[in-house]
Amino acid sequence: MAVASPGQPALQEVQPTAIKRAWTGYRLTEGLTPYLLIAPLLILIAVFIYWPLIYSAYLSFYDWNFVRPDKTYVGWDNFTRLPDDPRFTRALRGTLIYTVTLVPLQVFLPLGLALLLWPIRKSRAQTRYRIMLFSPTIIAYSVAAVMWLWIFNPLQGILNKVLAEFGAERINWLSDRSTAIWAIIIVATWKTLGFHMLLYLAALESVPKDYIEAASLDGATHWQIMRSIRFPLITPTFFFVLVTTVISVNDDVFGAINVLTDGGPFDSTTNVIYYLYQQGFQFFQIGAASAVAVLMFAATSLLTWVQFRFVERHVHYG
Amino acid sequence: MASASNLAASDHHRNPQRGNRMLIHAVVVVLCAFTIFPFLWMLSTSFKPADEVFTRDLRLVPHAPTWRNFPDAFALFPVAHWFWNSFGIASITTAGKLLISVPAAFAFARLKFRGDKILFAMVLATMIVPGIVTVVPNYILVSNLNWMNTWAGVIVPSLPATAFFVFLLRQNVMMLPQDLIDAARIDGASTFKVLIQIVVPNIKPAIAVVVILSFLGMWNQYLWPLLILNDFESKTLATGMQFFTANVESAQMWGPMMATATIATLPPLILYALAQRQIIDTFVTSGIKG
Amino acid sequence: MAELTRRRFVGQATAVAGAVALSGSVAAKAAAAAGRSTRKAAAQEKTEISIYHIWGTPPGGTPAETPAPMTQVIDAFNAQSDTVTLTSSTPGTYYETLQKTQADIAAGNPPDLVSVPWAFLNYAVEGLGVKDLATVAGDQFADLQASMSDTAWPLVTKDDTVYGFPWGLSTPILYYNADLFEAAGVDPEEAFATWESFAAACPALQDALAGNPVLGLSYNKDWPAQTIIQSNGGRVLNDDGTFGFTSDEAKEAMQTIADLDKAGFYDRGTRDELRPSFVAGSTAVLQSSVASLNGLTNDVAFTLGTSTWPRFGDKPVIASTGGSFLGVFSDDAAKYPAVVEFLTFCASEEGYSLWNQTGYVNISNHELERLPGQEPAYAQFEAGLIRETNWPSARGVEAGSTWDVYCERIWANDISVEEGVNQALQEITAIIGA
Repeated sequence: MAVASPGQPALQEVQPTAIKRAWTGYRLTEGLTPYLLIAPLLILIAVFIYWPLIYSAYLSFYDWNFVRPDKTYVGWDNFTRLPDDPRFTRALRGTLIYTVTLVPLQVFLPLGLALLLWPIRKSRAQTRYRIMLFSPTIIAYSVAAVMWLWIFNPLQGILNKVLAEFGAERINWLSDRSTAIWAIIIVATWKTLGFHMLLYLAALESVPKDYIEAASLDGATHWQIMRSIRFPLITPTFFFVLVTTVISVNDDVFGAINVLTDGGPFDSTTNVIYYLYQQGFQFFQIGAASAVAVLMFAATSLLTWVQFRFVERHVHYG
Repeated sequence: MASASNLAASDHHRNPQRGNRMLIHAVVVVLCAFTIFPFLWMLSTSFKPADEVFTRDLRLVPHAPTWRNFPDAFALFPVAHWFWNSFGIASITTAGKLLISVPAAFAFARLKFRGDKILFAMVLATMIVPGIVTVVPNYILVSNLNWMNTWAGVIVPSLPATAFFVFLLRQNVMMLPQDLIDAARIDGASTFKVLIQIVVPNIKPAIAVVVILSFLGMWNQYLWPLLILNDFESKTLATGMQFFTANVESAQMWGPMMATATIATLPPLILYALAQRQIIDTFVTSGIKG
Repeated sequence: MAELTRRRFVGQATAVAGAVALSGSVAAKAAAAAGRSTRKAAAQEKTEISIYHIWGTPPGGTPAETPAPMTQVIDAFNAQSDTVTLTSSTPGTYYETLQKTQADIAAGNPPDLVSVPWAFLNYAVEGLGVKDLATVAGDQFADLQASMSDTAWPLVTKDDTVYGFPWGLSTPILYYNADLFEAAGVDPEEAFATWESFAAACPALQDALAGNPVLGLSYNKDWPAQTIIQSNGGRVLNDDGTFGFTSDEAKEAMQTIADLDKAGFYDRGTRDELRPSFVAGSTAVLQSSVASLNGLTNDVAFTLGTSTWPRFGDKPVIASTGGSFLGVFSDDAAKYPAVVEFLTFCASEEGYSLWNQTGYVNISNHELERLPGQEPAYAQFEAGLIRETNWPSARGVEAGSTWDVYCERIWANDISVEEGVNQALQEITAIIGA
């Protein structure tokens, strides 16, 4: 968008036209310099991200427990074993539930919050609000989980105390298979709320003022402006949040699961990532863990491709 | 933010009634309460003696508050070491990430070279790889390199997780006016000089974002340090805290643990509060526009 | 929070061992030896040996005011020995300690002594190469044996060979809120006599708790399950290696707790919730290790009582073990005499009475003061303890974890005893193959 927005770093030379040109002006450079600049990044990515992917794929065809130097080739066994493993089916179920509930919660709810905060964005309290709303994102999962453990405690936790005031029955949040997963979902949502909300707020703020001015001078109402100008212009942010959330949602809950329920009760809060962790680091089945890793990567790539193919067309890039 | 006249003109039709605003404030306050309530319990427990930690009544203010938990925490476990480890690892990783992503962002944004599109796509594609997928092979790699229990073992494998930052920085570099760069070139500056003397000073807000988000991420990182740092003294705050209550055969030290948690929360919170403005500014200027 | 669980422990312990073995670890060896060589140069007359243990941080009570009992033992030993210096280090909990041991063994520089949990005896023998005590002690073996109780030695014996020195022995016992029992008008001795009498006492206790559950079974559920099944005459794993948890006795035992749950007396909370609930006075009875005695006494605001398990009719209570033994890992036979000197000190009255302050059961042959509250543990110990279940095969840890989940489900009435036990058998057989 070719407009100087508020808060832009003070560059004396900035003119609206100059910025337009910024997007189109590339310079051809000689020789190695660009490669030198990107080399460290690429090398690290190759060694610590791409190589592990390939090595995981390789390991998934073996049975290995890490201590013995010898690995036994087992072909597709690690993969075919999965559908027969009740733990894995429960993990799949968990993954599905988390994805279906957390993606809307972490994508739409913060948007709603941002819209809520929008009309009062100029109030003096808003800095304090933002700090408070962002604070869950700042603390470590291990700490957050301990706090929530106490809130969820069935006998003296505050949640049940409040419920008791209303005459409701005591709920065993973390040890009842029907509520435990919701406890995890609540904690995970609580943790990411502030960050996504911040992104949306920033997106709303970055909508160029002249568009808004022009529209309101034409007599558009607040709501009309919101609908036809702001919404479309924050779709890139929305899309970004959507894609990154789908990718990371199951990864995100790992911290909460590990500290609150360890996959329980009775494997009701586990997901594929937790299953991978257990197989690899609690039970020692490196081959099985690698097989799951390969499947995870394939599934995530597919989902991401689907989003780019079918959802991106609705995104308005400036 | 906007100038006064802008505000008057554009907000004239959009400024909600007083009553509405009060309502919104009320709702937000409730939300804030929901968000920070767990912190209140953490803070209050930091000051509780052992027998007040778990009581049948909800006690936010302890009957017999004590400062003991703080020195006790340091006496029980190497908390000072943990603090130093967390700080060192977070700082060095952040510096490292900047060192590799700023030049790369510049190259991808402003330099044309063979394979630039494909290579950039490969960098972006790493965002799709969920962290857990690379854990086992990286663990093997780190132990082969003899980096168990070292900062290197935690830092180096964490460095490549910068695709998001490269993306963000690239956006910002692309926003810089071409004249700026041209002027420097005409003066005979090499590409490196352009990078260091022109580009970097002008994308400071974006760099601030990277610094804060990266520091935060590493300060709180749990799984990877858990696997690599086995020796008690080499642990970080995030992974060490569990030991206050992990050994069920001894007393569970919730008070000292929450005291440690309080200490652990302060640096990121302070950092965020100070830099809040910078973060919003950056997203406002470059945005996630694609 | 992230409480030590057996599976996590074995998993990560072997991970590091393998990792370091893979790496060839020249640097690790050098680093580990560095500290030792400088000290060796300085203390040429005394043999230096090292010990890794988990008791460096005080097990309860006021921190940092008195050194932990184990530290006191080591200090006293060093003070009185002219020939040996023992350096100790606490790498962390059981799992860090064993990880470090593995790493050092793989690096060729093993520690001389390590505290190893009973449940890992098999692993220590097969995976870590712990030395058999008879070889280490030589002609002093008989003396060592005589100094510790007969009941303790079978726990460190595998295939007729003694592999460790019995040291910290705990067993699951029941803790109860004595003040609450009084307020409810329940006599603890009567209540804990049999499972029947316990069930009969529950309603009164529950009333006093305003409807809360009465009994919490802590740790991994398979630990108390083992004691409960054994007390009914059954076994989780038979001595010949076959599965015993599908026997009628086992099922009956499991049903007893499931029945308590049906009546609302059983606390279904997670591991991390049970202890705080008991400490806060929201439940009446908590099963935990006798080693928690000090810690619990410190944390509760009421009078703490301890008891052994209720009986099944006339059948005796047969509990399982917890805690650890001292294993010898020195490669250098020249160090054996030094190690034996330390062990002899441990077994002596001077050494052991210092150790006895922890709360573990006194397994020496000395008459020592028992800490108030330990009586139930002693009763169980004298009746004979069975070692914690060591599931066989490379996937034993996973099998154990599966059994743990089914214990939890059966007791929370998430599945019937019959179905639960059968499904557990199916899944475990699929995992282990036995």
